[in-house]
Amino acid sequence: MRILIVEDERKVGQFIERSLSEVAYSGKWVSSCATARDALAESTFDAIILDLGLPDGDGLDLLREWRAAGFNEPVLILSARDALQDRVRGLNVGADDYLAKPFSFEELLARLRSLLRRQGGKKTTEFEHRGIKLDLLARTVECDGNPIDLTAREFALLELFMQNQGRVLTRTMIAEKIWDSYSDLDTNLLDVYMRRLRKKLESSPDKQLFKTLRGVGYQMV
Amino acid sequence: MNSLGSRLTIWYVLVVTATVVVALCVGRWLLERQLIRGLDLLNAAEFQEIVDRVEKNHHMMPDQEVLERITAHSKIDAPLYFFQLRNQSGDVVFRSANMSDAVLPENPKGKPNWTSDDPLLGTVRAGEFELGSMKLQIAASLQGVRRSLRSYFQVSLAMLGVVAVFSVFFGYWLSRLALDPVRRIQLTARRISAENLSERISVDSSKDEIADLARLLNQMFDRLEISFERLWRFAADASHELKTPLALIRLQSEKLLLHGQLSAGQSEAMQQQLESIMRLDSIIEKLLFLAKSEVGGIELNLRCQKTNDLINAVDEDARALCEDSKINFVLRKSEDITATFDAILLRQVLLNLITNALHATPPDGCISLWSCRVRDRWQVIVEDNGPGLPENRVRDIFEPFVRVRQEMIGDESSGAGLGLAICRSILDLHHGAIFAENCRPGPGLRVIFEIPIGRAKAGESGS
Repeated sequence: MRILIVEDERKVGQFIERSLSEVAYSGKWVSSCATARDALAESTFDAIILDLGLPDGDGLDLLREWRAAGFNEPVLILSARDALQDRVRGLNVGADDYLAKPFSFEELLARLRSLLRRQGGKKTTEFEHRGIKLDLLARTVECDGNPIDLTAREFALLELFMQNQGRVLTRTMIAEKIWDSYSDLDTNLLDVYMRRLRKKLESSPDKQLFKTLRGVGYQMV
Repeated sequence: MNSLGSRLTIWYVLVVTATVVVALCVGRWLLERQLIRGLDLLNAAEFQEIVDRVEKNHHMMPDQEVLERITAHSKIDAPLYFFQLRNQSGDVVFRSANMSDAVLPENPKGKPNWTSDDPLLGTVRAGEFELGSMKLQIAASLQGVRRSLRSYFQVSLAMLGVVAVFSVFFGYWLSRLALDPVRRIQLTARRISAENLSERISVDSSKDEIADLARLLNQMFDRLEISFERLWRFAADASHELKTPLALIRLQSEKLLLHGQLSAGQSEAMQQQLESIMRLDSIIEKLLFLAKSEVGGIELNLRCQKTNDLINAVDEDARALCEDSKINFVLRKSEDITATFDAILLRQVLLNLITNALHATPPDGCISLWSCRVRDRWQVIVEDNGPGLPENRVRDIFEPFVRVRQEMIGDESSGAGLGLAICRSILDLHHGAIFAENCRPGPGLRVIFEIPIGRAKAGESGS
């Protein structure tokens, strides 16, 4: 997988480039609109990580240009600007996802993987994982054969984890999906719900379903 | 009617009325002069008649005959004229019968005609004429003149009234006409806000004062637009310059944490550093939100929707939060209200208020959430039974960086004191209000917010 990184800050760009190579992606970092155009003209990429504040132009204009030229690979916007408005604008222009600075690399990776996967995903309505069965159509949850009563939010949360078994879900990603929020919630609401889910689903102390990644998020294991 | 319009109308009425008053006064003076001159001419004509009677072939008759003739004539013209004859030395030698005891005074200051007041005759206009060696004084009453002047005065007064009434209407119309361009400027200027600073007042090519004013205003809007642009750029730049290094610190800290083979103590320190970074990020985000909402730069996602949809969604979260802290939660909602609001931002307000209440409420305490309609407003109340606030600090809690509650309960962990300031700016964007009061009887604090129902239209962006 080749990822183009358009980021004006050298250290951040190089960090992402290096870190991506550590997880077996091939990253190429460029620092301006001009070099980004050249890079895309020279070779193909599977995804682009695009910073909006570039020294020689706006990343959104670049994105608009690419989309108009028929570039259909996923683009993830990386921006330091005010989250909500830039986010809406970015998604309108044709970005696939949006990540606000300062971000966690885990989060960037999780989103990137989700974007690359989205290309060929298939929909299922029933999930099963370590004795837990979730039926989206019947809206029922069973744990080792026993029906479990979940509230609407708990159900949505479990559904998100079931769809992303084994993957890291960052706090912001969860907040976006479950609460339509564009940043981490100001409260410990997510931790409260996770405690409740654990209480209901982790029937024995040795059965740990959710792994906490402090400051980052949760992972269903 | 605006005040300048009314003032213009009043000035117009005053000027028109004053002009008419002056014109009528001048008219009266001219009329009086004309009437008196007429009397003088009549007096002279009367004298001529007497001369015709007492002269024969250009010679005066003997005095005795003259006297008889004058007496006879005075009887004929008694209703109109008074006659008095003085001899050479000025003694009165004859007075017409209609004068009874009255005496006309001697010619004052040598004028041929004069006006004099007499208690018996009233005001008269007199003329003195040489009749041989004697002086004949002929006087006519000014009563007729007075009567004419009185009716002139009445007519004038009526005219003045009519003019005043008409000038009110005319002045109002004129002031509207004059202020119409101003009103158009006003309309445009009112429309221009942070969202459409590029709109300008249309200026016609004329070089009058109003066009100059519009041009001046447009120049001001130009400067304002530039300042706003600078502010936006500043906010964006500040955000970029602060967050990019923050991103690098975060990335590197996380990497150290994951692959750095740190000791337990070092890991903990790194973890705390990460949490501080997140807190810093959240403060930057909030400050930018406050700065932008101050200048109208927050676009609301306003939708006409049922308030209970929001309340129900918050209810589940609030219940989970309260249950986790072992605090009771009570929801009371009235019939469904439809209002126009940004659901995500208002949920942020509600969760913020509930989190604040949670921090203040002792274990086994109770938090209540009320949603109801009060006249034309949707009112939401979040009430806790914590210690409440000192009465003089109740207003302060919505100011940025004020942490009254945290100071009171010694809790340093929760936030920078921006949450309630954000709540207030969100309510301001909704044309609503937020305020707090201590519960009576206490203890406890009640935070209330209100949003007008049906004021904002769906799809309108916040201004």
